[in-house]
Amino acid sequence: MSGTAPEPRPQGQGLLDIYDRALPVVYGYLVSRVGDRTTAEELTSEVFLAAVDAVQRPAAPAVDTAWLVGVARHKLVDHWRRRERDQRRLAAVAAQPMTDDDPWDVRLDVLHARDVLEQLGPANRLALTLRYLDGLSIPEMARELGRSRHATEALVVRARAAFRRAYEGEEA
Amino acid sequence: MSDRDPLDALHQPLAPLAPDPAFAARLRHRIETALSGGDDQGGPMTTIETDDAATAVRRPSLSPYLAVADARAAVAWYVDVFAGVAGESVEMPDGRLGHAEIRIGDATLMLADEFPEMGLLAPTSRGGTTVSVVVDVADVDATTEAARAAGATVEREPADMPYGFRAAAVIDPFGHRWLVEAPLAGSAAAPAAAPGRPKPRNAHEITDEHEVYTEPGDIVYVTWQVPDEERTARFLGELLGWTFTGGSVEHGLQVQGPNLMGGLWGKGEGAPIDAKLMYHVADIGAAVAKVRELGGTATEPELMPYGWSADCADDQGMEFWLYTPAEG
Repeated sequence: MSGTAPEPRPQGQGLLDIYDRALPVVYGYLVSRVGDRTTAEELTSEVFLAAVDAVQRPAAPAVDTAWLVGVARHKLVDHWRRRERDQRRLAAVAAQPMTDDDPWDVRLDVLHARDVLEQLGPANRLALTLRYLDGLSIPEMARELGRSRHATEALVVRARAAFRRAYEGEEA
Repeated sequence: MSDRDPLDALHQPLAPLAPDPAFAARLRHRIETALSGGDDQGGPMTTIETDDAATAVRRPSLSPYLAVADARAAVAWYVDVFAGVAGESVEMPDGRLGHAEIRIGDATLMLADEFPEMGLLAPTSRGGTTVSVVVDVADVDATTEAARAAGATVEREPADMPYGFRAAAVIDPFGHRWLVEAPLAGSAAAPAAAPGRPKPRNAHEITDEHEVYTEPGDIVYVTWQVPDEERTARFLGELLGWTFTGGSVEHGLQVQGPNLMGGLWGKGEGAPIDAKLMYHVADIGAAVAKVRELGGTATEPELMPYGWSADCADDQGMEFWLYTPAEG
């Protein structure tokens, strides 16, 4: 099996050199956010194959672990957007309140909160993951999602409200 | 957002987590293949799609994947006793082998060290195996003796079985149980169509996708030299139902359809059209000398990715290649 493939070109060798170090970081990032290993493996493969494409382009970016995690975040966004589209075909999304004026001051039980997060729809999960698990600011999220700041903020508010309903409903 | 947001408790910094070693090894292989394949495709003009399924490495539908207490020793043992060829392996940061492959005949035996943290334990740790692996060999008695000499326990001595095979059962030093078998001569289980099976030493690969078994004197490969390989591919595809995938040279297309090792090589407008054969010889150095002695011409043998090759012509000018496997 080995020996038949020609040598990778030099810029590809850099990717192979960091593979062992970068793989657990990328996989760890994804599995802790999507929650299941099969999906995490699929997305991890997509990340590295995207890196293969990237390093072969004339103006190749510097591919390091941070760059790969950035690609992993794009893949996560794509993944949940695909899921969101699939679900919309099945059922109309129930109207959700847009405002979250009521201040919420609790100390979250983090393990329980993660369970609640996994039960939310893809759009809400995506918004909360970028905002809270990844710790992105609203402007950073807006860039990642390709939306306006205002629209992004509305997404987060809606997702927080959905999370809170689920969290408190579960606790009751 | 207010300063105090309870959801901030969800923050999850990067925490590396090693994936399944088999997954890591497969993905590395895909990356290596993708990185090295950039130059080898027919270029953007190709009309023949090579999808993942077509370019994936061909292998049997089932492959054994063993957990062993000492993977490096096991690789050496299986290579030795079953006349295997060690393939790629992946060492984990802690020194364990996360994945190793051994080619045995037309199958791939995969194995890895124990990973108790993932529940992957060797038979010696579990108190026995529940699975036996059937391995076809050229000579059951010789393999059984080799296994015994190398520390295996022979559970059942070689004997002719009513289902048309000579068979023995051995437990290797790593606790795995093997049913070592070969078809009995003249039995229905020994079809003439598969004579190459018990001859793993003669296995060679022209590409990652294809594998054939040949002996000295056999035709190994056919190359159709044509002006435009895409046109030939369309023509033969329509006529015969053959399919093609990107070959190992520019303007090369590998035949995938029939049970035949061959490819198209586009040599440009006006190039003479012919089919050039590649013959398997036991000793390429001696064969090249013989070609010259017979009045033909031959280049010096060159080591190619698939083995040794020399470009020759006979004493009337008919061109051909000679081929000898790189190992074995």
